[in-house]
Amino acid sequence: MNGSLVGQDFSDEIIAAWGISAILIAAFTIYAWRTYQKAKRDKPYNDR
Amino acid sequence: MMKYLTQLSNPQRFQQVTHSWIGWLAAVSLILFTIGSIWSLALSPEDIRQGASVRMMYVHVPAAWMSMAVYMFMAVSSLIGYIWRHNLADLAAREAAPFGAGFTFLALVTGSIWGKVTWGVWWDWDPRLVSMLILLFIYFGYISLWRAIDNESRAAKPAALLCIIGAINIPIIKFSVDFWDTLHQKASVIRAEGPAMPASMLWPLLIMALAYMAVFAFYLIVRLHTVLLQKKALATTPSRPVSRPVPPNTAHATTGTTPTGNTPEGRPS
Repeated sequence: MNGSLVGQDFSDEIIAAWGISAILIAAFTIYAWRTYQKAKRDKPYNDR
Repeated sequence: MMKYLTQLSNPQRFQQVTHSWIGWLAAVSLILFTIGSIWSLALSPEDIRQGASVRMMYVHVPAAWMSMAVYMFMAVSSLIGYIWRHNLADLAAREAAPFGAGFTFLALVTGSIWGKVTWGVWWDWDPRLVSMLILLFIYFGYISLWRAIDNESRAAKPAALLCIIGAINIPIIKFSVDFWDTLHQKASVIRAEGPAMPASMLWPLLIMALAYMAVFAFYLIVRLHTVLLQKKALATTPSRPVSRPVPPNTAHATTGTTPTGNTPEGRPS
């Protein structure tokens, strides 16, 4: 199964390498952002 | 410059200064990834020998660079933390470690996939590959050390030492392709004679590398803000008032009844 984008054919290996990279970067970004939002919600006691 | 860095070393000042960077770094990362991905996948030429599989280079090489760059950042932070007992430097090294481990893993996995296509094998006991695997284990050891010791200030010192000693692996990785005969190709971008690839491949590669760096900066700043907020919340939360323990059978001693109103024998009083 090969993928295609703007006239380019991509092998399974290219899709796998790019896919893993995208998933890993997204996972780090989402983890950082969600924990940051949670920390902001759990405000320090003096700021409440 | 030094004065600015010194100001940033204060946690409160760090939060004030870098708060506005978060949005900018997110936007810059997104723009660089979009440009880099389109250029790498659709516009860059195929390699004369490897064909389209060279497109794996645009994720593999920046991941490998980041794995080493993040480690060097951690080593410098650890050194600052070790010498000047700087808490924020220790925290920066600690928070960067999972990201560095993730990118070392990514470099190994994408390299393995690329290796299967070009070399015909998923893995070879090649000096470059082995030294990268050792780097991943050093990352794991460093993260484990932080988690093994509950007291943060006690964990910082041995973790910093491990990180500084482990930095010896970075030049070994870099020069492994020069020291030994390896299956892995020699350096083709960072070398004394200049890059060995055409600009049509070099530019998308550099843009992807910048995108990875921007994501790292975003991740690190957001994580440091999170940790500092958590610390502040913990420090300012008042402890629950400690109630004086009531000695057991006090009621028996004074009235001869239990708190339910029954005598110790179970009869209503």
